Amino acid sequence: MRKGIRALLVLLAAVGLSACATGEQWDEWHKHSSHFASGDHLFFSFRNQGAKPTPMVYKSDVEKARTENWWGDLIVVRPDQLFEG
Amino acid sequence: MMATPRSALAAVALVAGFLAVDTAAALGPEEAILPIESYAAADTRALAETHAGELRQLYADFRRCSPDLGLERHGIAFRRPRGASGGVPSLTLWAWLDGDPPPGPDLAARATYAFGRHGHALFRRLVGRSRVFGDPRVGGYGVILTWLRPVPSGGGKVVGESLAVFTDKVTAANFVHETIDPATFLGRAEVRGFDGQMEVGVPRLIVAEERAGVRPAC
Repeated sequence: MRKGIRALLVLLAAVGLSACATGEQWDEWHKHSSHFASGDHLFFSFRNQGAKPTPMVYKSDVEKARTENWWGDLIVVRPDQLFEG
Repeated sequence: MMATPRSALAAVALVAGFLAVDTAAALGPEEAILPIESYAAADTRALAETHAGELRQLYADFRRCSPDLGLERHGIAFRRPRGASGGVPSLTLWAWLDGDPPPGPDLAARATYAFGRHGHALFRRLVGRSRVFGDPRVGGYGVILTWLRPVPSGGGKVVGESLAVFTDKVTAANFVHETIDPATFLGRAEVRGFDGQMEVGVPRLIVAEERAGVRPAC
């Protein structure tokens, strides 16, 4: 039930924010089944919209960006680049 | 502009969604430590089985003593580093720097700062697992530090910069016990830098000895 409500909220948010997307962003969006990997990703993106001198990144953002795989937004070295096997 | 019922509903949904967002939680040991079943190689799997208690203690020490760092998922593990080190089984720890990116105009400067601040303490944690240190099957240690690259004011992709340092047990122990200085340690270690997934040459890092000697809270 909770997942369904959250999915609905994400969908509504995507509709409400759709006028702000560029063509490149639409291409990226179509590659995935949902616009944001999670509600936390949505909140981070909303918080950092617009031109800011530095991003508002907190400890929780760093952990969630990595563990929830915020695709299209985070590029980091892969384990197979560092380790064998 | 007059608000339509549809836009008002979307706004209410947005606010409700923010309120429903779960609060942040650090990785538990089951997520931070590579599970036994995930090991593909028999030698590193055997080490993980033998030293499971040491890995959990390493995790506990890290959580207690490094509040400004976060662990990468499966960031504590026995791994075989790629590169010149020959792929000997090593105890590795992969951590993220939380909050603002390290200061510096480029990756090398930020890597120097990050290692100067955290490198000694993290290697001390690894070397401090005495049973692992005494196991002849373990060839060395590795520390990987990752942080978010500063984002330009016009926006852009979010990129993680990484510094990986791999070394043998003796060199690590000498560094931890300060019988060699940081510059000598880094000269003997294998140092790799990554801008996202692109490996970049990292000039020999010059870490001031006084910064490398910064002691963590515990």
